[in-house]
Amino acid sequence: MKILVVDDEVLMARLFQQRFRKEIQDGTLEFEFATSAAQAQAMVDADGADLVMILSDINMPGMSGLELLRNLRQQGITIPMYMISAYETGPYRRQSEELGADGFLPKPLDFDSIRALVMGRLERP
Amino acid sequence: MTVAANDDFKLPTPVFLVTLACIIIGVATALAVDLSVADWFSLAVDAANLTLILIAILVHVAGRIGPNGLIAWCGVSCCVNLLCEVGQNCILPGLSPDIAILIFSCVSLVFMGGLSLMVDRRFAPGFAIGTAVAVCAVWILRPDPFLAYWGPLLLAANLGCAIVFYSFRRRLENLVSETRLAQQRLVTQEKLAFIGTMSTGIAHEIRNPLNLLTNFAQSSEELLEELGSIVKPHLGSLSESEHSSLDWLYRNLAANLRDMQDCGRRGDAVVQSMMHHGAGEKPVYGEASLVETAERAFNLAWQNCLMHNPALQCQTRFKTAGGDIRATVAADNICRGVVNICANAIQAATARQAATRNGFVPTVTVDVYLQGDMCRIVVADNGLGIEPAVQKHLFEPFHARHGSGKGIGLGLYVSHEIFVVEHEGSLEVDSRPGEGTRVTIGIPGAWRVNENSGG
Repeated sequence: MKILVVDDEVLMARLFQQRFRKEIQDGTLEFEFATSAAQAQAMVDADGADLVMILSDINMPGMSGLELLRNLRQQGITIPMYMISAYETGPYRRQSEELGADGFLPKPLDFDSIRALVMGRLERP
Repeated sequence: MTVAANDDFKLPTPVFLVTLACIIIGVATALAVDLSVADWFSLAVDAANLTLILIAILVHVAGRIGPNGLIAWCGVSCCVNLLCEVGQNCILPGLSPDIAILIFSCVSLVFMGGLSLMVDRRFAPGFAIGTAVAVCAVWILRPDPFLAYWGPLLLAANLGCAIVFYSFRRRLENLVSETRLAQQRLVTQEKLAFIGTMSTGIAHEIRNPLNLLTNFAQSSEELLEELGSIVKPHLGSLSESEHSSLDWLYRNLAANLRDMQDCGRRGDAVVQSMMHHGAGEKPVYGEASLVETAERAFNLAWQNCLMHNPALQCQTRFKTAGGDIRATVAADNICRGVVNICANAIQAATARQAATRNGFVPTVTVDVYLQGDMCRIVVADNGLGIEPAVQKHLFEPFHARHGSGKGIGLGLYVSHEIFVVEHEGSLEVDSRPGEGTRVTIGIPGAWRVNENSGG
């Protein structure tokens, strides 16, 4: 089960690898990382079929996470996408819902919740 | 803010036109009859006229009539005076003109002097000269009964000018004060918007590294546990001092990582507080229920405090009497301000509970009532109270009294800006160390509706 994490913060990759080390080690989960929305778009275009979930930050230089979400939905790509932002309240949450995001994760990230989310997705047929 | 057009500038008013018509009629009558100079009747009429004008000015200064009312009153009074003057010259001719003119001149000079000072000191010489010319005209022309009337006419014109200038001055003063208020309100809104943008921006920038810090610390704690479980079977091969050193290192590393997570959580509480201050966008004014707004704010404050301290215990009471209270306000900002004050009250009351631990029951009450047209929202707690030295700086930004991790010290500053500057209301803090604090918010221009509901 491959998950794409999009965040301009490069340390995020190491954090995910550490927090999901057991799932990665036993082959339950596989993570791919993109440090920009454009890179994520290219990755989805090139090899998006395997992806079961996208976790994307909203505030990134260049294309934002919301633009990435809009582009993917316009292309008819329905991979479950969860938006991440330090702006917990306000318009981001609403915009994410309007553009077709499956959920909103505020920072600081709660990895127990993310794990529950991912495992819930994994158990679905 | 727009300054509404005011009819104070619509001159001449119909009253002035009537006055002018009366003067023309008076002159025409004077031309038609054989005139003599002023007598005791004239004096009585002049005195009555001056008294009337004086009363009009006093009533105007007291704020009971506007500039137009003042002009109308004085215009009618002068007009009646002139007509009486004409009439008495026709009916009661022949009484000592010199004495009459002398008294008339003195009264006129005193009256005009006072009036010119009321208008503006800079106009005083002009009015003094105008009055002097009028009086001289009366004196010089007194042998000619007809020409003597030009003196009172000049004086009336002078008086009219003084009143017009006075009304202009009052209007200008009002305009200046309205402009100043609008300017002040605009600056406050800009300031609040700046605080909002700054707080949200900083909060976001801090939250990203804070997220990494807290999560890496948590992850490292787990990794350390794993490391411990791997190393544990091999501890037997170590010497006692090596074992002791390793144990010390392990325990301290684990403690450091837990402390880092605690610090991260405290930092996040501060960030959340900053984001709360940043919630304000451009205020939208509209009619709103102040009772509902205060109750919503109280609940929000309670939820916020509960989020940071799930074990929170505090007796809360919201009361209002006699139905809803409404006003035209920026309700979201009012809510922000009340949330700040209620959150402070809850924190102060629970802090005292933590300090005493002897069955003390922390209590916070919010009372909303109407006093005249002022809606009062009183937030009272039985908390620690505020030291006099701190009270002096209560409304200054970044003077937090909650201690580390509990806030950034913008709450009361923002509340003050919202209630006092933006809504031209009031914010009073009455606090006694060791007894509690009572914060009274005043929001002007409120009215009551639906007497039968509420409670």
